[in-house]
Amino acid sequence: MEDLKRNGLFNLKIKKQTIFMSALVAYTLCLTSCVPSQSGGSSSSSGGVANTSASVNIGYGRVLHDNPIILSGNSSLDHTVNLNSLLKTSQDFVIDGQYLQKTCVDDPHCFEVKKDSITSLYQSTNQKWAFDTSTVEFDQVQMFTHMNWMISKYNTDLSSTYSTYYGSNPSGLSTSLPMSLFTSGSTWETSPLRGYALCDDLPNNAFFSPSTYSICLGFDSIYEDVKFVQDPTTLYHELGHAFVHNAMNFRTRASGTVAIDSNLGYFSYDEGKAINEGIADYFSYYMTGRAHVGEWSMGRFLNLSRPMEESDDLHVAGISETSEGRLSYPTYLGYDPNNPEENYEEIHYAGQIMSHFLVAFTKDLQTACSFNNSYARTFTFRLLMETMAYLGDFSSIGIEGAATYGVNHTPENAKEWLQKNKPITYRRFSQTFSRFVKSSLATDSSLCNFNSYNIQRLEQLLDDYGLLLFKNYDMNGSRSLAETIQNVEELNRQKTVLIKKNQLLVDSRSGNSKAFIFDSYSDMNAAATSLTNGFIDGSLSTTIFENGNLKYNNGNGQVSPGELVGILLNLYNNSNSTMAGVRILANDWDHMQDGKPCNNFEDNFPSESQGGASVSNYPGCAEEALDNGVGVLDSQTVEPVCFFQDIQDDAAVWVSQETFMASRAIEATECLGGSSSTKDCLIRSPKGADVAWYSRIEPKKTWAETLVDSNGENEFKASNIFFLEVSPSIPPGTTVNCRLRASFTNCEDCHNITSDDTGNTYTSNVNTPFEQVGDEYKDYKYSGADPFRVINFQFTVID
Amino acid sequence: MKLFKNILFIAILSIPVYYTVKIMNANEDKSWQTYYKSPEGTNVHQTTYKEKKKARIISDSFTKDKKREPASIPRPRDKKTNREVLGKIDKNTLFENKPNSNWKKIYADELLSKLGPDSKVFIKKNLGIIRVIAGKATYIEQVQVTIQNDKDSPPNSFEAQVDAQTGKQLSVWNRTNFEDTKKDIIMKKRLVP
Repeated sequence: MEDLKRNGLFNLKIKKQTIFMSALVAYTLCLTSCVPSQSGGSSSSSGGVANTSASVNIGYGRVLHDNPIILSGNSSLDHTVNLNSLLKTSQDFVIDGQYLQKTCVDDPHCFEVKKDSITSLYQSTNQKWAFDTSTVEFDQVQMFTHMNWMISKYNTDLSSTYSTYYGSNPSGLSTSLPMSLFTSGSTWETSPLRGYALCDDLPNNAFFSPSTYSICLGFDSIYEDVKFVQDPTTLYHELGHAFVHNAMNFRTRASGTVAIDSNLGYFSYDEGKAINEGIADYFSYYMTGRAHVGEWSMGRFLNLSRPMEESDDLHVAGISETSEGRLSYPTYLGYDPNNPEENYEEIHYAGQIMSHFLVAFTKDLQTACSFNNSYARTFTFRLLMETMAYLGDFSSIGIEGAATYGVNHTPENAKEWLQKNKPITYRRFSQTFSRFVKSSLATDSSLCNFNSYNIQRLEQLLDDYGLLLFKNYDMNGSRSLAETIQNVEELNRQKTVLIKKNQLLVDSRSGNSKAFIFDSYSDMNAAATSLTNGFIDGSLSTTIFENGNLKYNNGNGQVSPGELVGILLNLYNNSNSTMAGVRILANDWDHMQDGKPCNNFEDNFPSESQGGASVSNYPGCAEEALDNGVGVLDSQTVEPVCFFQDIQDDAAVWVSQETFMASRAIEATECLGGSSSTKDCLIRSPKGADVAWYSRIEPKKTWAETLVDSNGENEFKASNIFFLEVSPSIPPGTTVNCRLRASFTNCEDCHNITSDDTGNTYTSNVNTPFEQVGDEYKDYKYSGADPFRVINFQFTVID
Repeated sequence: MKLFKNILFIAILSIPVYYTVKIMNANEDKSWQTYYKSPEGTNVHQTTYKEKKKARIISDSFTKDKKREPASIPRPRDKKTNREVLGKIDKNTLFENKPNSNWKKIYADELLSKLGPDSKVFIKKNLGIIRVIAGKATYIEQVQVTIQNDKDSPPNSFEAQVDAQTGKQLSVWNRTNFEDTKKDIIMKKRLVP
C-alpha cells in the first residue's frame, strides 16, 4: 500500500518533472547553440586579430578557445607572446546584456564574473565583449565565456542523466540522484558562483572556495603577464571542484534535513582530497578531450602541469598503457612527473591515479559500448555524479527511495563518518563508482549501445590501477536487509595488494621511538593558528593559552601539563608491500563501560586486576554503540580515547578521566572544555585534529622513513599528526593510555565481516540481523574495534 | 477624525517598538563584521570596503538581483524565534541552551585568542537554527568566517556552526581549496629517535 501511494505520487511528480526537464533541456540547448561561428574581425598590424567592439556584433566577443600552448602548438611559447594572434577571427557569443552575469531565478545558470571580489561588475553599455587580450576586461570575458560553456555542458549532461531515471521513459534503475534534484535547486548553491578573473594577491595560485562559492584565478609570480585565466584548463579544474561540491551535496540539499555541507576531503592530506583533485583534473578532460591540464598556466613556467594518461610524454620511462605500466595505487601516490626523483605527499600528485583511471575508463567505454569519446566522457561524468551524490549524502539514504542508514551512518553522525571513521578513500570511491557501473551499464544493455557490458573488464582495469581494493560491490550500503552479496572476481586481483591489519605495528625496532612528540613553543603556536583556521570543529582550550600564545609549551619533547602537543605515532609496516591511506583515529569511540576501560579487544588490555571491564561483568562492552552515542537508537556511549592510571587500594588501576578527577580532587571548572566537559577534562584530542593521515608506508619502514628527503628531514602537515591538549591541572608523573584506532585503505581485513577471529569479543547485534560473512561492516561497527587495529599509546606526563 | 487619531496612535506606538526590536536584533546583523585585537580587548566594526577587498569578501551590494529560491525543501520555522528547525520540537523537548545576543563577540574572542596579533576575523551570520536530537534542542548560529592571518597570506574562508549561547564553535566545513598547498606545511624537521 505504501508502495502504491509512493508510486501514485511518483507518477504525478514525474509529469511535473517531465515538463520542467523538457523546458530546461530546451533552454540549455538554446544557450549552447548560441556559441556561434560567425566571421568578423580583421587582422591587426601586429598579426593578431583586432579584437575591438567594432569587430563584433552585440552580445559577442572573442576568447582564447584553449590555452596558448595548445593554440600555438609551441610548448616553449614565450611569456611575451601576443595572445591576440591566437584568437580566432570568428566571434564568440558571450552574453546579451551589459554585465557578465547570468541571472538565476530558479535557473541553474547562475554565475557572474568580475575582475576580483571587490571590483564592480564590468558594464558594457554597447553590450559588446571584444577586448585586447592584454586587458583585464578580456580576462573577465575569457573567464565568463568558458564558465558559460562548461556550466551549460554540466547542466545538459546532468539533465539528460536525470531524464533517464525520471523522464517520460524511466529506466527503472536505482539512482542516487534525488527526484527533486532540479525542483529543489539542489544542483547549485543558493548564491551565484562567482568567478574572479585576476586576483592580485594570488601569485602561482588559484582556489575554489565552497563557503563563498567562488573561484579565484591568480598569475605567474615572475611573468605577471602570464595569467591563469588565459588557460581554460585551469578554470575547468577549479570549476570541477565546484561540480564536485555540488554533487557531494545533491542529496543533502534535497533532503532539507541537514544544515551542513559534505566535503570530498577534509584534511591537508587525505585520500578524499586527492580524489577531489583527480576528478577536478578529469573535468578538464571532460571539456577538452585532451588528457593534460594546465600546460600554460601551471606547466610552462612553474613545472606543475599534470598529465592524465600514461602515454603522455611528461611521464618517466616505464609508465605505459599496459597493465604493468599503469599509474597504479599505491606506488605512484607521491609521483610528480615534473620532478620524478622527488618523493611527495601531496594531494594533486596523489590525485593523478584517479584522473588516469577515469581517462582510461572513458577510453574503455568507447571500446566496450562503441561510444565516441565525447559521449564516453559524458557517461563517465554521469557515473561520477552518481558516485558523489551517494557518498556525500548526509541524510544517510544514498539511493532514492531507499530507507535511511544506508550511507554515512546516521544524519547526526554523517560528518564524523565521512571525515574520520569511514572516509572516502581510494577503496571506497572505487567501490562506489563500480557499484554504479554495475547497476547501470552492466544491468541495462541499452545504456551500452545494446552491447553486453561485462563487469570483468572494469575489475581488470581497476586492478591495473591497483584499485581493486574491495571484495564486493556493497550494493545496499549499510542498510540491514537480506541480500545476496555481489562479489568481485578474486582472480581479477593480480596487481592490487591487500595487507592484513596485524602488519601495522608501532615501531619496536631497537633504538627507535614509538612516537615523536612535538611540543616546541613556536611549532605548536603555528599549529594552533593553523588548526583555528577552520580545521578543528571545536576550539582549543583557553586554559592553555595566554595573550594569544600557548602558555606552557616547553619544547622538552615530552608531554607536560598545560601543553598542546602533536603526536606522530611511529607506525611500522611489517609487510612486504606498500601500505597506503593509513589513518590513526584519536576520536571518541565505544571502548569503556561505567567508567572502566573494556578489555574485550585483541590485546585483552587492561586485565580486571588493572581496572579493566570484562564482557562477563560488563556486557555492554560486547556491544558497539548503534548510533555512536547520539542516544536515538540505543543508550550506549562513546568515550574519549585517553584514560588514566590511578592508585586504588595500593594497586595501579586504569580509570576514566572522571574517576581520576574525583580521586585527585580536580574541580570540573579546571576542565579543558569547561565544567560541562568532564569526560575529557584533563587530556583531549581537539575534534578535527584527532586524526592523522599517512599517504603510504613502504615495506619494513615507518612513514618518516618512507618520506624522508635527501637532507634527512621530513615535512609535516597538520594532517600527519594528531594533537592532544593537556590540562595544567594534571599532576606530573601521571601515566596515560590513549587507546587509538588505526586503519588503512589496502587493508585485507578492515572492511569486511570475516569468519576469522578478529580477537575482539562482540555479540551479534539483534538490531542488524542480516550481517553475513563477506559483507562490508555495517556503519555502526565503526564505533567499535573490528574495522581497526587498536593501538595503545602510553606516556607519562612530565613537567 | 477618530480614525486619524487611531492611526496616529498606532504610528507613534510603532516607533519605540521598531527600535526596541532593532536593538534586540543588533547581533542578528547578517552583514559582515570585522573583529580584531586591541590593547582594550576585541574590537569590532562593520567590515570596510578596503577590508573586503583584502579578504576577498563578497559584497552583496555589488550583486545584481540574482537571489534564487533557497535550495531544498523549506524547513519548518520556530514561530517565536523565526529559526529553522532541524528535527521535531514537542512539549517534552528539552532546550539545552538559550540564545545570547553576545554570541558573535564571544565567538570572535575565542578565535582571536588563538591567532596572531595582526589577525582579523570576519564573521557573517547566515542562518539561525534549532537542532533537535534525541529530544534535546540546541540553538545554533550558522556563520561564514574569513580569517586574515597577516597582510601577506591569502585569507581562508569556511563555514561553522556556533552555540548560540556560549559562542563555542561546534562544527566547521567548506574550507577554501587552494591549488598551492605549500602553506599547509607547518614544520620541517629531522626526526631523532
